[in-house]
Amino acid sequence: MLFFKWWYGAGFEDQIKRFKRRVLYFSDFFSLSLLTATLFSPYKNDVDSYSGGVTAQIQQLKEGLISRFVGFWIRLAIIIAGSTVVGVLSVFNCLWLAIWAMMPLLVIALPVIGVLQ
Amino acid sequence: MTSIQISRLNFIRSFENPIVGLLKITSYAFGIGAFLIIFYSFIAPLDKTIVALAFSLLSPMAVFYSLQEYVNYLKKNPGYLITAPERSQLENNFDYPSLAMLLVLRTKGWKALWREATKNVLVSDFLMRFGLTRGTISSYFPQATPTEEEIKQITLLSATYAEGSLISSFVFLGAIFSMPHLKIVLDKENISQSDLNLLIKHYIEIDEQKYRQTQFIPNGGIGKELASSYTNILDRFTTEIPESIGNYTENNPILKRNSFLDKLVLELNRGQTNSVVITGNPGVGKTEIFYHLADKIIHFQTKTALDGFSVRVFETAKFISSITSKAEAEQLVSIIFGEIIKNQKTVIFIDDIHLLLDKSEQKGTINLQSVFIPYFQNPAVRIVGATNRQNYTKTVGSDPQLAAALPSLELPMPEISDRVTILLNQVHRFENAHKVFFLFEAIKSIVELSNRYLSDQYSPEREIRLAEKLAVSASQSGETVINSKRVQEIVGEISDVPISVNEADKEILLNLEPKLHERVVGQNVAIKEIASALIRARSGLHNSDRPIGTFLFLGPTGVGKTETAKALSEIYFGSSEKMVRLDMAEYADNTGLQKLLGVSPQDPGALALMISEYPSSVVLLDEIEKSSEMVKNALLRLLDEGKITTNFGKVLDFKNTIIIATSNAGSQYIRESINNNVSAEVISKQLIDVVIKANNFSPEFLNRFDGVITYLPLTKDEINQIVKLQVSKIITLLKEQKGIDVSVSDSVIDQLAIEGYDPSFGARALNRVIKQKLETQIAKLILENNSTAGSSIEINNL
Repeated sequence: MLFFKWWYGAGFEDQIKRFKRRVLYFSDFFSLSLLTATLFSPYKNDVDSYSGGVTAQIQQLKEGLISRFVGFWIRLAIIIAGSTVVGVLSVFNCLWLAIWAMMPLLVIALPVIGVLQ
Repeated sequence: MTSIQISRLNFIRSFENPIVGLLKITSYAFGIGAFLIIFYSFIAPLDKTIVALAFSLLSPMAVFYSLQEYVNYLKKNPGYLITAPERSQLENNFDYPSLAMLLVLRTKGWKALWREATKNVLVSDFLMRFGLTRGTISSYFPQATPTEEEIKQITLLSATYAEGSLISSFVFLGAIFSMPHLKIVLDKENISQSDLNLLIKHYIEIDEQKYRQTQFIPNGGIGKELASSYTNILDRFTTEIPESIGNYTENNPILKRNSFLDKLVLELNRGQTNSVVITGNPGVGKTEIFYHLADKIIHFQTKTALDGFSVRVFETAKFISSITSKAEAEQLVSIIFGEIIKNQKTVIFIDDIHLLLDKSEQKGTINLQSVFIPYFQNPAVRIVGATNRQNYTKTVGSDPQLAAALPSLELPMPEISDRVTILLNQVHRFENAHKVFFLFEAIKSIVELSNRYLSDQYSPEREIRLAEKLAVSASQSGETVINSKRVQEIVGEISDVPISVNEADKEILLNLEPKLHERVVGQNVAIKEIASALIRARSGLHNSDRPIGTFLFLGPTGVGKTETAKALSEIYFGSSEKMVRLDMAEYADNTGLQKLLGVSPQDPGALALMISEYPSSVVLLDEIEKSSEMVKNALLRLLDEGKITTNFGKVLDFKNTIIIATSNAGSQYIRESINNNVSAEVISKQLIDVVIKANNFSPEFLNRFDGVITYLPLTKDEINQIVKLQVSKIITLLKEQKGIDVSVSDSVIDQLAIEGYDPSFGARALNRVIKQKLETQIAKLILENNSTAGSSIEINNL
């Protein structure tokens, strides 16, 4: 009885914690929150404050826009890649939680399923 | 009824049984094969029986996997679902390793317990720290198994130590050694209860570390680079702290200094200005604290805006040596901080920050205050500087604008008990590198002795360096175990002070009175009192935060006060050279205090010069009554705490000195009392009142001494003895150097005593009279008789 109490109690909670940890790890690995917050920032933050005449300032503005454009796409690409990994991971983890919940039943059910195939 | 913990322990043990292990591996192998078959069956139809068998084979794998998860969880959480009422059952208070020990103790007895305990490397290490080996521990424990009553006592004691948590192996063993009838184990190995508690706590923390390491710690990930700008010049003069700093800080905890770290984080988040300087003496751990700060920042643990910042160390020496002009330096600093501001997320550590802000611009320093100030005031710049208090005051504190932008946080030395724990964490490194083992008594000795004898260095670095030195020297001499005796020897070598009381030293200490009397005639009460004080000091009863001994010798001139000081330096410090004399009459006027305690590091004063050359010596403050009141007041702290602060802020340590002040104050009273046949005891008692009434010394000044010792005028017999002593020295010298035998008659001795004694100057004139009369006479006779080796000379009259 104690085993089942653990399986559907602390054991299940432990699996959710592991799930969270994996999601956090990959979110951190792909810097999802940081890249989202700086999505429209220049690439590598390499724009100086505006100075000089109007022509120079227009040039700096142009360079800034290009830098932000490049930065946006690179960041977006990483965000998409990271989100995909996290998404796939989440699906597998949800599946795993479902399997975990059914595991005691599966132990008995699997041979029966095999016979019924 | 079997308790929950015993059932679980049995379950874990049976699951970890090799046969079950084999079954588990087999089920996993078949399970994986079954998976492949089932997947294949979706691609190409397979025989139904094979598929059915494959499904069936998944079941055992699921069973073993589930049980393995359960076992892992139970091992990590031994207190799972054990409620307060269940704790009433004795066994439910233990974790599994300690419960295994309890069961072994109950069924197989004490010796089997030792075998069970030492199966665990960490527990074995714990016992070894106390010097408890298989051999020693077996001798303490009787063969028999303990009674159930004893088991209950141990459990009760363990539960008290565990403070609500489950009883661990360390707590369990600690409780066993604390049992009234087993305390002999601790007593024989010289282990106090507090030592035991400290060690239990330390090992529990190490044991828990393995679980802490599994927690996820963020580091910012691959996108961090994209959010930071190019920092070419910054990269040239700084080194980024790597993520792996976490491994270092994990093994080098800063214990109670975590509160200092919190203050540092607060300072870096002030808002208007976000820079700070850690001040502290060299070796107190400023860089260590910074590494912990870096770890917290890099791994998002500060829970402030600092989280995820890049942390860099500025290479001050490289910067100063690479620049060719001040203008270039200013330009570089502007570029570096420009990059930092653009980058937005950088914390920079500048060790020895005073080198960049030194107005005097001495060699190896530069004054970049004007270019630095705007950056110190910029909230986007976060600098953590480090320097000592003196340099901070000199370079930053003297300028209010700079001090406001760059406040300081003083890092004190860790407390003594923390030093022991710090060292416990550090010695593993040296043990592994040099294949040696530090007993706990050695670790304690390192802390205690370095506090007293290496006080010119600072904790915890001095203890760590000393431990490393011990490990190296032990490994070179083929020793594997480092005990407190070895520590005493090495500290004695470094500090040049005889620390360990070995057999020869014991002999000297126990015979100190006759030894002193070999050089000092008479003054029995004075010599006895001095000898007692020194025996107390060497036997460890002495307060280690004071000088070894402080004495005031009161008495007329020429009665043996200086001679006693010389004899002490010879006996205690091994040489009469180790006595420094300050004529306190030189410190009588208003400039006395300056002359004594200096004005600057270039003019450090008499005390600083003296103690730097002779840190372990007899300090003779001659004619103390003649010094000014200011000087006497300044000396109060020296006598009380064994340290004194110079006028330029340096603390001088006198803990390894014997301080002797001499004075002629009250001499007139002593002479009159002797003439009136007052006893020596009464004179000693009344003399203190006499000197206080005469305003020679204040009561608080006299109270600071370990002993106020009265020297009485010499009697005729004592003068005779002194003459005999001096004459015998001359006789020995002539015999050794020329091989000539000299004999001096008693009448000549009497004559020399009469002529050499002066009521005002005591025996001081004796040397002169002996030289003039006796030595001249002997020299004449040698020349007249052409005396050579083997000849003899008799002196019967002068």
